[in-house]
Amino acid sequence: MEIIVLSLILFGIGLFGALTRKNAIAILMAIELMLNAVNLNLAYFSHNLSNISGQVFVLFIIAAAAAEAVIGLAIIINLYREFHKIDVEEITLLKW
Amino acid sequence: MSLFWPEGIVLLTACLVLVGDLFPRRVQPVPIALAGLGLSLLSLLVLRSGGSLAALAHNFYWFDLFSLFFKGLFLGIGLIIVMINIDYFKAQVKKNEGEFYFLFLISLLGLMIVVSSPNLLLIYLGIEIVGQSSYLLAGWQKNLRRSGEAAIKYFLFGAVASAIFLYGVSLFYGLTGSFDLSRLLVSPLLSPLYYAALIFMVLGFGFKIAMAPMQFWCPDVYEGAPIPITAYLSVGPKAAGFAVLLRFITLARADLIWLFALLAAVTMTWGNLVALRQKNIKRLLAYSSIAQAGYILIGLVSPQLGYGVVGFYLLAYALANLGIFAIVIYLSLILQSENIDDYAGFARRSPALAGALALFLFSLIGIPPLAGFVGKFLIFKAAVGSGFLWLALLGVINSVVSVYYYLNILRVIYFKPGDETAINLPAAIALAVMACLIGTIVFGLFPDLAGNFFLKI
Amino acid sequence: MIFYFLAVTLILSAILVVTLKNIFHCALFLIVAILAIAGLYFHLQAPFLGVVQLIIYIGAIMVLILFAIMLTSRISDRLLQTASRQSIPALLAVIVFILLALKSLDKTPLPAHIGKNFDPILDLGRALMTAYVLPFEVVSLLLLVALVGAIALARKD
Repeated sequence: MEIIVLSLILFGIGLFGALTRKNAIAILMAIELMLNAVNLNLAYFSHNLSNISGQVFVLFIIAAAAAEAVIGLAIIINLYREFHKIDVEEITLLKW
Repeated sequence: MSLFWPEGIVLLTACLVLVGDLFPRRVQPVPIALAGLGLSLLSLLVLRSGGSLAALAHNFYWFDLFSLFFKGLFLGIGLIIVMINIDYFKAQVKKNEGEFYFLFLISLLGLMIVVSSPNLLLIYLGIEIVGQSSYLLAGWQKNLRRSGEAAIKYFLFGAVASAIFLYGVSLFYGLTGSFDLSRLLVSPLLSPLYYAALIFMVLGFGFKIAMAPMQFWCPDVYEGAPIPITAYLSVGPKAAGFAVLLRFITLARADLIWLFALLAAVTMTWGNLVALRQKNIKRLLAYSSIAQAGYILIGLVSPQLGYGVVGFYLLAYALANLGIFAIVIYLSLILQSENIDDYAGFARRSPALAGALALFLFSLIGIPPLAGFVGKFLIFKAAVGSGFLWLALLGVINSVVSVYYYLNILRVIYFKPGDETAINLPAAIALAVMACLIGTIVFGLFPDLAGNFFLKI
Repeated sequence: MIFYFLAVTLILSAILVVTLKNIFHCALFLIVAILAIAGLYFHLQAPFLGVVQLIIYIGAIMVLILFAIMLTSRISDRLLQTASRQSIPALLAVIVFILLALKSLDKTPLPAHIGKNFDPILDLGRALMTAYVLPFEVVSLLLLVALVGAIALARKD
């Protein structure tokens, strides 16, 4: 039970970071926190239910998170190399 | 094993396209991609006439009419996108052609995986494949600033959305001990946390279909991405998102009807009202696609009708939207502009294309006897049938509002004076427009054609 | 006891990750948070996950993030600083979200702990190679997409 609350708070902190940060890499780190909260939940439920599939899902999420980080950082580095900007608010060419 | 043929062919084609780039004498990716997609579609039709339905790979993969319909839709979309991409790629993007088509084909494969699985793990992996290849494709014009910005915005929004979806999945697992949606048919659970889990998952998918409140990325990404990719994003991932929502409703037995009604109302009204003041054609189509997502969401409030109504609407919408995007690509190639005002005089330069554009716009508005009309009629009828008269009325009011901005495009191309020299049309784009046009008219006049073959309306 | 130590470390370092101004320090605290989660996996009898967490998250993802920070910000430059926006509304929204979730958590009976005997590493390996073999293949596609796409996008033409 404590772990669900812990992961909920962790998810909230990550969501807060993703909403408020301006630097793209900082947002990516906040997203990593959210994914870790999910993983913690799954590992806890897997333990609680004595069911292995939760742990299997965690492995897949970690693999997907690695792929996501690779792609995100490739996009960020390309943007930085061409335009020297990675703050999402300075990227204002496209308006709402 | 033979049931995996369509997916296998797409995978093989993607690998061929990637490897073909490496030879000293380059193998052209376009013919391979077209042949592969066509072959895959053919094998799908053969499997359909075989008529065997099955659950494969430890219930991870379903081979049913539902997934067949969506796979066929995606392959058709893929063929048209490749055709309209040829000339645009040569003129605008130029670089990394092999990798571009590789990612595009893998993305289609991801869509096919998403719609075939009742298991949240495979749905998640499919969504990630689709998402990550589309982030990359949106940023493919490396030297163009708006393309890079589109990629980063799409990526950040998408990553947050998939984290939210996963949080819902984790709660779902805690309550049911399984990731298999079909397990729920046995014992439906209706506790507050279960609803929280479902809402998280629906929000995560709302990103893919550009549903309020997850629609903010849509206009920017549509404007910044290469136009064929915009066309793809507006139909492919959107249809897959709706497919998964349909699976949810039919399998999870959740009483989310009011939620969908509310989301449909907000989404279509917001999309239509903001679309009224757009000057750029890609932004206009972005808001129009948000509004269309709102109409399709109406179809989700009557789950007892099955997927036929929503499937037909998606088909009609995809045909009209792809047709419009084909013409927009052509216009941006000859005019170097995406502003609607620069389209002045187009009707004189190319009466046939202008007429086709008018028909596609009429289909999106929902004017008979085009496919869009049948789609809208079925959806509104379903809403009234399940007691949501107000929602159907709101949908009709919204359609009337949308007439203003759709017809504004026609006003500019028909009645504003502009350059009137005749122009010639690339064969691939002409073929794509023709295919979409035939589909729009034929499915409008004979909706049973689609109905009998794939859908059960 | 060890659980509370890990939990407090995790929450504190996570808060620092999303609030500190210097992005390099944020990354270092993210490593601390990830270490704490690895510890929690061991606590939850999921040793394989703990090891994978250490190898992939710290060994691969965090190294990648640190490299990206080095490449995109000049050290000891103003660019290293990162600001926040709309902090107060976001904070309120997140607190409301957490309270709502706690309330629905409170009202829902969760399945009780089943003390079934299971060997996490053995079962995990078996599951990956039998029931989960299709997702296992599909995730390789995802990694291939990341590989090809990242190289094509990040290289200079």
